[in-house]
Amino acid sequence: MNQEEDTVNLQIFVPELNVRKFLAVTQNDFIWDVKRKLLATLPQALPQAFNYGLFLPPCDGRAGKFLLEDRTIRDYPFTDCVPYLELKYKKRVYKMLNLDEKQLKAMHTKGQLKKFMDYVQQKNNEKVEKMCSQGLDANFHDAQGETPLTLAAGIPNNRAVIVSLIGGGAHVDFRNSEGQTAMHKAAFLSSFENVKTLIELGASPNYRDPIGLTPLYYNMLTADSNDQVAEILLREAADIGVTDMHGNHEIHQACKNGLTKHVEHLLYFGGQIDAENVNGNSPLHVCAVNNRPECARVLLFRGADHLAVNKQGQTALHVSHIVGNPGVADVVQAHNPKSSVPYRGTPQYSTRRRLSSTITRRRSMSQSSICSQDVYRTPQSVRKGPMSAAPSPSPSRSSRTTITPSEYGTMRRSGMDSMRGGGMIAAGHETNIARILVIPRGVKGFGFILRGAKHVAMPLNFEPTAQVPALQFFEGVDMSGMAVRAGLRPGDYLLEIDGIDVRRCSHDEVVEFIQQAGDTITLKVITVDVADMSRGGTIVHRPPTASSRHSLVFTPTPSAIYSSTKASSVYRMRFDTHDAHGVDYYAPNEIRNAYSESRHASVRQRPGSGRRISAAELENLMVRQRVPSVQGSPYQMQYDQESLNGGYSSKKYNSVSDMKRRKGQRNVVASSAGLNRSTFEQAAPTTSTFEYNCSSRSTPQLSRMDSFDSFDDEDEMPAPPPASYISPDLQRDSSMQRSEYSRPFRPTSRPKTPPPPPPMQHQNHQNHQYQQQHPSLPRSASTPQPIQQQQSSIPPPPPPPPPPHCEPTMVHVEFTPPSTSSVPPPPPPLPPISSGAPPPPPPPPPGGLMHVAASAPVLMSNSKGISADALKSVQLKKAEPRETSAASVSNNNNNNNNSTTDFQMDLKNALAKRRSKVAHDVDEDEERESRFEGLSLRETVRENVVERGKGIQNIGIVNKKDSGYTSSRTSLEPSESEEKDHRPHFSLDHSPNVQRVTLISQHLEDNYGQKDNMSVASSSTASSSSTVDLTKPGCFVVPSHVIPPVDYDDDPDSGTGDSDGEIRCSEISFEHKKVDVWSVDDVIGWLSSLHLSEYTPAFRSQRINGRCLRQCDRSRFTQLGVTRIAHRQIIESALRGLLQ
Amino acid sequence: LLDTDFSIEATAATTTAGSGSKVAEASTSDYRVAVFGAGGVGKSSITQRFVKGTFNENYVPTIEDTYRQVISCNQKNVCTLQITDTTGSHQFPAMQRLSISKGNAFILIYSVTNKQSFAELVPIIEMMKEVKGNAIAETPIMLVGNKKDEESKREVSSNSGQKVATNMECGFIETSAKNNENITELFQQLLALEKKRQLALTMDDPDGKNGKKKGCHIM
Repeated sequence: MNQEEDTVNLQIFVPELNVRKFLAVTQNDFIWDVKRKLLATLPQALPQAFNYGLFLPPCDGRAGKFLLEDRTIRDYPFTDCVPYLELKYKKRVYKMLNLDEKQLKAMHTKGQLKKFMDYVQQKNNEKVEKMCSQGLDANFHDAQGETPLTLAAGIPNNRAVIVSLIGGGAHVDFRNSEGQTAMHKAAFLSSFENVKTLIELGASPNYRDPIGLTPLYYNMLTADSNDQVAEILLREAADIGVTDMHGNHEIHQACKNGLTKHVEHLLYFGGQIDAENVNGNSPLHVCAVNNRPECARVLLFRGADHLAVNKQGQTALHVSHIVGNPGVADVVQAHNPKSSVPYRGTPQYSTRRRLSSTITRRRSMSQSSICSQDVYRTPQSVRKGPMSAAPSPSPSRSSRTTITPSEYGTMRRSGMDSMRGGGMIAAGHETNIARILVIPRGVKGFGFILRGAKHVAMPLNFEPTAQVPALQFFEGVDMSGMAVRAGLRPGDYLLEIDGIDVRRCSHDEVVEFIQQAGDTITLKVITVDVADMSRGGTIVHRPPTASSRHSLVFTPTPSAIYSSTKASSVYRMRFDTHDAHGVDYYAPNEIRNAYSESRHASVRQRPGSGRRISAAELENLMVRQRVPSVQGSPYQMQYDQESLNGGYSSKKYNSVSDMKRRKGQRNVVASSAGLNRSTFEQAAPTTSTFEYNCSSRSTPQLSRMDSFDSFDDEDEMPAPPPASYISPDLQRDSSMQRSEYSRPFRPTSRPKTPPPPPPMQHQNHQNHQYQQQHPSLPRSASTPQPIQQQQSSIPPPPPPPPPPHCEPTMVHVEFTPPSTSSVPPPPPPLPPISSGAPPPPPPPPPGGLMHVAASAPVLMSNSKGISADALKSVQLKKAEPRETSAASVSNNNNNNNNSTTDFQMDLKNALAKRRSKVAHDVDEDEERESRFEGLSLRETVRENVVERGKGIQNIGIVNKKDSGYTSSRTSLEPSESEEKDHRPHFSLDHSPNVQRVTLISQHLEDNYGQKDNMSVASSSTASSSSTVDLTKPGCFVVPSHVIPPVDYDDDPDSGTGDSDGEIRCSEISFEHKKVDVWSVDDVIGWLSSLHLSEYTPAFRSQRINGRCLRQCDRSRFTQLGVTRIAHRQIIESALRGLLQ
Repeated sequence: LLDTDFSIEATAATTTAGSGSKVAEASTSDYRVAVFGAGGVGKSSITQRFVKGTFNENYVPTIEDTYRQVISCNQKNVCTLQITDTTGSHQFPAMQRLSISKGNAFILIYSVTNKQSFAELVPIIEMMKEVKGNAIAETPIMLVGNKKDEESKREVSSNSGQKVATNMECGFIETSAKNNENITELFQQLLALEKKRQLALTMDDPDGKNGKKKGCHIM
């Protein structure tokens, strides 16, 4: 015979779909992999795809048979036949030639099948065998979704029936309606005799259920599990290191349920003793949480690291003290590391099974702490590919966030060079001039936030350039501080401090220099050409029309910078994902080390970065198809960031995180403003007064949109329709992707750094705030009371003040004639929110409570935009006393944000389990709706939903992680139509969740519920730990089991009142009128203040005045064209606020 | 052409309930033969040589296969000879026991060039005695020494095989699947050992004329 080639071209026919496929596979591919590839290429999904098998038809006298899925192609030679297979449902393969069809049909009636199941239930082996010999096919499901084999496997000591079923043609890997095999069932119920029988009949210990779990994992889920089952499965070379959607290995489950002998067996056969789950907890942490001192003793005796910390920086000893398990604490404290006895012998495996040669390397790999997920021994092991790839993109994404401004500057420079000649180069070069600032120390310090590289490998490793002149730069500047008065801008690079060159210094060194300064510090800074580039781009792209001329006058520089930063971050994330995947392929160890480092730094991630990544992920879905494993990884990262942000908000760096949260929400405002801008371009102005109002009102929106438009290379049409507006942007995304990929990979030289600690006075202020809040702690004894506390303490929200739309226009028209060359004085950056409305008080019913919680973030983001406009009018009038009141109002916002975070955290935890699926669908839909418009919006959404549905079918594990992630962003009250639209696409993957009729499903649900509780415990322990750290001797000690509620001071309230009173006196608008006496123009003005001016034509044509607005409900708003849930919620919340 | 004539008188022995089930089983149309032996002795080669007439030089371990062949039954009817080619290496005991319980006849194969393969038949014989019980005396069993073409590497003599076969009261033959030697004789002798019904490889009639007109010869 000829020597077999390594590649085989398989011809596979699917009779049910009448589809013929050709797959190129290798001899070493597993049958499971071939089937998975085939299912991915089918035009439509097959119901119960897990019960379809590759069938080798009869040939030359040999009977046909289904190929075993844990074998390789090499085991089935095609030397005598053409490589031809069929994908068929796993039915009994009759080997008799004389088959009586009538007899078979009579045998398979519903009554006969039910009788057969009764015989199986009663362990009546003779009847079972007789019916099988008469031709009954045992591969079917009963009303409960069970198969005869899975039913038999659930009855103890049922060897005879199992043997009869297998002998009668039942396939050993035929699954019930939830995708579990008889092996899963027997292992879960710890039926040792049944597991042994199935093993002896050739069943594989590595069958996977739809969420990727093995029978060994199922064996760890009950507290009364039989360790003999685990031992026999491990002896048959069961996979170790399988994880659930929370990242828990088998050893985590064993420690959680107190299975000491199971832990021993797992460690002996190469289990990872310090495996980490999603929250960074090791098995020792799990013992501490669940009070398992015996398991902890075994772990420590076998060499577990008692100093390992989780993502909250806690060791097992800390966790045991926090949770209140002194037994585990005693075991950890009494442990002597020198007395550890790790396993060193080679485990003995069964000789009946063909084992891969890689299994002998497992012990050495586990000894060297290398993850054992790289061992691909059985076909189901390939599914761990997405899991191992998931953490890889994280370090690149985290480390690249730091250098976003400089990257943007570089892109802008290269873009402008390609379009213009030397004039622009000269213009750009003029901006790069260093300037010296003398900043006195104010009440709160200097008033800036420093950011940059934390460690420099070598002093000469960094070379300052024109684009990146220094390692440190100013991320934020406090508007009410001293630095902004001296002329410091966000994004400026720090060159010198008091004459000392610090361009190559690390972050810690620079912070030390700043702290050593006295009452005055002399800084030498330089501004990169971001502002001039964006403004120049606007001039080039925009024709000098009247509206754009007015908008140019009011272009604020910080808005442009933020909008550009947000846009470039979106592109950056997409590039990071792609590049990180490639790097993981070439240097997995380096990436893993970098991930370990960035894992610590990610504790101080900005709250807004989650939304940014989400937007990047959506654009990835739209732009091109990616490997599903890569698509899944951002979701896991988002899950980490979201949970860590919640834990971080209660740490002592409260002011820094609040400032970052404001900027994050500002990005959301910028995004929605851009959407409104495109609507404004299509609106036809009717009168000159209307034109002036639109121009002045949408000034910040126009500037942000201009910055976004400047990414386009070619000139735009004057009023592009939405469809054609989107497509050039997508094309630009592709070209941007290619250009970014060709750049050198530099994130390793700038690792992610935490923000600097606030000055000493800030810290004292923080301690003072916490001391004031401590007296309220004894009143709250349980979780529901903090919610009640927050509810009663929230003041009634004042109506949001609209921006003055007449007076600023007149002022600027008067003082600044309309000329293109004039440049306005730069307004101060980062204005604080003057009178942001706190979330409205939730009504008594819990449904309403959830509704308010869902809409609160949206309302706050819009009110911040309004407040920015109001604050601008204050600044334009140059009123000195209002700055003090603005500063005090800023403190009020800090408290409001903190209380909102605590309140939302409770709701998220309460609703996580029930609403995870619905929230995932709604979030996806809302994200896409906010990006497109018109008819193309529906088409694009439908297309994306279909693509998303297909992707989810391929990666069930990642989909589970999506569910875990979306629980932290619960979106309430989804519409019925959306639920119906999304359910068919997710039905295959979510069937284990939907059909909770069997014992396994119910227990798994309880297990996942407990996982959520464990996550809550982790976050609550983090909060309690940080609270305890903040206390001083003599202060009140916080109980560890209570999350401290946030209370309000009297000073912020009075500040709010003063500020509102002053602003209210100076304005003439619908604000002073009651809703009943509003006119149509007042309603339209109110809609514009909510940034929903796209609905103005409908409201005007329907003549909706205040009285009609009061009586409008959801259906009425839908008739008026408000079809989006988010917009309808904004209107209803604002209206409810007005009516109170 | 095959000129061998077989004429075995059918013996009716019905004394116990077990015999009753045997009679009932004899009326079914399938005759199941299970081939046992260690890995690499030539189970699949012998079976494929008999069914397809081909020999594959490359060795690939078998995952259980079933072959079918039509044979004559009681000189008038046709029935299916169902040959189960079992897994030699990495055998699962429950599957082995299942094949024994469902088998009507057995072929035990060893390689004359491998003494170990001859020794591995002992536990299989013990399991057959355990499963079949007293009925093993009436079960056709053939002990086969394969690879007789490699005389220079012979490790098991013909006398050793014959002695074991005599002790077990079963048939014995040495074959060579590569050279297609004694393959047909093996199955002929196996079918001849059946006492419940008269089985033969070909349809034979005493009447020469009728045989020539109606009968078909399997080539």
